[in-house]
Amino acid sequence: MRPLLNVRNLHVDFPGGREQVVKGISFTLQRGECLALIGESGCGKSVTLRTMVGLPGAGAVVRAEALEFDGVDTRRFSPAQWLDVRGGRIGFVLQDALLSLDPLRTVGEEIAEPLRLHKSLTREQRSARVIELLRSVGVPEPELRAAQYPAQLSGGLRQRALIASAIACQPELLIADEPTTALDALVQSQVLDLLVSLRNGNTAMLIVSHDLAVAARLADRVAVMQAGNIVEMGPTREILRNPQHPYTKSLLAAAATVHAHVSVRHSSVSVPNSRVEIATHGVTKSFTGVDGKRRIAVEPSSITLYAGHTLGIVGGSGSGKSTLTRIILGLEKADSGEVQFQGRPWLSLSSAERRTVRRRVQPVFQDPLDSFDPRYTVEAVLGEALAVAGYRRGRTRRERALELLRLVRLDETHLYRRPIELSGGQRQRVAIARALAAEPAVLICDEPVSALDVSVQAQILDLLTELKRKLNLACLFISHDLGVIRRMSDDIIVFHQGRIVEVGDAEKIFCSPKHPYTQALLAAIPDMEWCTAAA
Amino acid sequence: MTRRLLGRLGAGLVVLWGTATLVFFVINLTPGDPAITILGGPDALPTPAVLRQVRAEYGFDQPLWGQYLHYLGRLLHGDFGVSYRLHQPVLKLIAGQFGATATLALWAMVLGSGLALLVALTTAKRARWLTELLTWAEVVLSSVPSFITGLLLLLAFSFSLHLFPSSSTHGWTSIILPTVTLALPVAGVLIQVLRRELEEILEQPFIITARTRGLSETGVRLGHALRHALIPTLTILGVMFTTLLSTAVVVETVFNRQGLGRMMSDATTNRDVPLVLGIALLVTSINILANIVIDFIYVVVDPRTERHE
Amino acid sequence: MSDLLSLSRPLPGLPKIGQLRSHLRGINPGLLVAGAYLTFLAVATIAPGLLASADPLATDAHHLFSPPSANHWFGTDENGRDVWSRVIHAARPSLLLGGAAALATAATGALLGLAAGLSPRLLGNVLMRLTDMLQSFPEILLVLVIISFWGANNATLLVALGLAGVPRVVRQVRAQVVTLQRALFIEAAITLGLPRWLIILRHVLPNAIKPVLVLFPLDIGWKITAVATLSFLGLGASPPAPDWGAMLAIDRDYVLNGWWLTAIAAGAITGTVLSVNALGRALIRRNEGHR
Repeated sequence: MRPLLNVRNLHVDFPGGREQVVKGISFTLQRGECLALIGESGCGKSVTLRTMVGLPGAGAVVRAEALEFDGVDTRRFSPAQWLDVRGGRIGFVLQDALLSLDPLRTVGEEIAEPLRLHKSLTREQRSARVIELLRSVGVPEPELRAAQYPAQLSGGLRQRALIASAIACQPELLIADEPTTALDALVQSQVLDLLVSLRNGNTAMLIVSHDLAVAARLADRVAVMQAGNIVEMGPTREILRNPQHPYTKSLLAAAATVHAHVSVRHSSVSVPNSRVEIATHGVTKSFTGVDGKRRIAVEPSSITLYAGHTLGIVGGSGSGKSTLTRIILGLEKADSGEVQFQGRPWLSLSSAERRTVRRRVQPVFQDPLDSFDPRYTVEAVLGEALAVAGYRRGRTRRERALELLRLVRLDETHLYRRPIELSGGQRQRVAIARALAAEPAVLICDEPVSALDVSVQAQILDLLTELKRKLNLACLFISHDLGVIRRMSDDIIVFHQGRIVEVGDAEKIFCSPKHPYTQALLAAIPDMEWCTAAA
Repeated sequence: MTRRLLGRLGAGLVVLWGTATLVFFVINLTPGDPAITILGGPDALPTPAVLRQVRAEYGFDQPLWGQYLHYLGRLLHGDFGVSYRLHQPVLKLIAGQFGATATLALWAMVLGSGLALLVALTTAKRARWLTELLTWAEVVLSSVPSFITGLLLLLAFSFSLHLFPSSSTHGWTSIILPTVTLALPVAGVLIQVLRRELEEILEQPFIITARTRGLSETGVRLGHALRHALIPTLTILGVMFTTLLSTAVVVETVFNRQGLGRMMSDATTNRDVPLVLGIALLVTSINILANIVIDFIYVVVDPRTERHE
Repeated sequence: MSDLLSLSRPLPGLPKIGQLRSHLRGINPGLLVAGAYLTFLAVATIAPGLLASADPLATDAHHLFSPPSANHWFGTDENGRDVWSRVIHAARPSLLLGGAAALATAATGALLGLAAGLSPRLLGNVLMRLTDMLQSFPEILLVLVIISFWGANNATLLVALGLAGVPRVVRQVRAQVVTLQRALFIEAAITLGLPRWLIILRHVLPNAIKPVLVLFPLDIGWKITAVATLSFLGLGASPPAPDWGAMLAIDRDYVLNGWWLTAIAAGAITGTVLSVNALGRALIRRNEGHR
């Protein structure tokens, strides 16, 4: 059987810029099968995908011994031939639909575009087909949605619309670059279902993901990429259960660490005499939305955080968890309710009164780059926090700064750099160092690792765990990733639509969730058992 | 939608009222006799009879509040006062010159934006040498003062080659050089901004999606990028409108055309305060109106703006 | 035109022509020329006598409109005055006035913008309405209005030109302040317990003023153009003081006769504005590179 895609010894160069991005990879793809390229950012997987449709990027030089689509040599393709294949025989789905659909055109227009280019249909036939397509990908009220703009649809519906536009002409091959990454956990699972059904319908698929779980569900075969090379390739089950190459092993191990259980755990029950660091009682907050309607962001909520404990807060976007956290940090005013810090009133204090104590509750944000003054070096960033903690300018401050850097596994050279020159992981370490510089009792981590690569995630989580233990910090940990929450938290709070729907010991909640929302969340976690086998 | 329109008109009226009030207070706060200011400054040497007439007409003997209301009332009636130098009501003078300048400005905007869109759409994100060449051209275009461009064009095409008349206001040949001179700064700035914006636009994910559907380069630029490019174009045009009106002053002088700009320049030289103020108020109103119109075109082009308000 | 460039994204620098022949790696030959020209102008401003020996005001009825010669490098004008000398001496008023006006605009605009952004809502709104009012006036028209009231002398010109660009700066600075107040690093500073005034001084101010500093050189270019335009229209400094714009305002019939007059004056103005713009853009580019 002639393979649909035949790639042998593919090289992609960007002379004058990055060095070789793809350094000689080979693979084939049969009709109706799904191959997943997995690897971390920068390994060349996206470039490979784009080269399959002749769009490797500006200035790219593509060389290969063989590069064939359905037996035809695409290296010699004329622009006209590519225009024919793209959209007609190969569909492409990019990452975030909010960015990948033209915001100035309606969803219907976007889906109709490939139809207009490849099929000769009348306008009415096109409209009908668009509605049909939207229905087939599971978009309710397709007539309404087709006339709307992408920003008016929710994330999940948008992604489905994007997929609809890719499969409009019933292509033989569907290429997807991180198709579920930008979505909430629950929605991810639903879109994955859609992709699985497409695969079952005999569309060949070539996908890329950094999320091993996605690959596990969707792909028949998996190819692991590292720095432009394929280091291991084979049937999915085999690779994930029994990895041979050291890099594959480390990838799986990192994923496992992120989602590992923690055997020793502090439970709020076991140490009843623990000091209460933060307690909130009946805090509420509502906003006036753009449309003028008053929306309740947080219903009366009460949470308790004990010293040395980690309280994980989980919930979808818009569930109220971030708002409550910002209220605790004092960045928002609550409409009603009280927050206490170490037994004393916190929220009801005036700004001036609160200032001296504020540094005891420190945040670690998701995007560290924005949390630094663009003009400041690492030294200045730490210096500002140290000044608040009472370290005056001079030798002692400098020594303490170096000490902090050592704590977060950075060294002196980082002191003189600007955060913009550092990698994502390094920046987050600096952010943690700054938080620690203020000598806090409580750390509030708001999605601190969501923006990082898997292997870096594991390192930062390890670091946080170690620091918490060493300095006996209480920690409020927010994440949408249940695996991360499970690993880091002693107790868990589940937020849904502004309300706390479940509270309790982490393990108990994971084993026997009570509230339907919690149950749905847990059901959406992709199957991780192969992870523990590899760990 | 209508609520916004009314809101904008209301805001515009407030601005106009504020401007008129400001003008009033400035006249009255200038050291010296306001009547003399209106008559053309200390060099005008008006006769006592004329002075008395002006005083009565403007009510300078009344208390300040009375004067102010009097003044507003006259404005609302379209009475912008009389130019004592030209011996005619200001409104009549302005109406006479308005057409020529308006035509010039409109053509210049059309030419400028059309040219810019054409050049930007075809040349954005192409060969390196083209980008470098155009960058040079842009810097030069936006640095040369308009009156120098006008003079150069005049020298080249009128005086040397005798292709176009060097001074007149009527006939379509006479409008070409002034329009080009006026359009060049518009085009210069627009091309710069548009090329940069297009470079960003053409790298967006939704453009890649369009390409993966099999859309050709032309299709991508015309079908997707163009609409996105209109947004900064509108912004620039809104701001450029005022600059256009300012530059018209210069262009009309260089090309010896009749028009508001020329009249404004002469009025300033002659210290003809009522005329100057009349033109200024009128131009301000047009400016405000134009910006409101552009705001509304925005909503049509970019559906996202509606939701942001 | 400088206000429009503030709306756009990072500017490409001037292209490197003759890269191979440039001894100093990475320095644009165009910039070198601009820098040299501006240095020359600086000398002309500070000590014009060093560059031009003839008296710019000395008339000579026997040599009207004479072409360039050994005595008069650029010939003489309609009153027999030495053109070269006039051009050199005209540098000072143009540059000083342009520079001072640009400074006035930047300072006033920054102060008002900060006030508008940091004030309580009502005051901020009032300030912005006032800014709107000022902005509705086309810039040169505003200048003309002021001149028609108070005459054209250095003081009124300074005020008029300074005022004209203020709304743009106010808008810019205020927008920056408003954005900054929601920035994450400001929130981080708040959680550290820093008092509000310190946060404003240390974090908001320097970052808010940055665009003003960056666009300042370009604004000088615009102001110099405006000064020349006003003189051209006969509304500038009074004759017989030498002035670039005024030199271009000679009777149109003589334009062809005395082309050297037009050429050098036009060249001086254009060259100045070009150089200032080139340097300004290079500065912007360097600044963008830092972020």
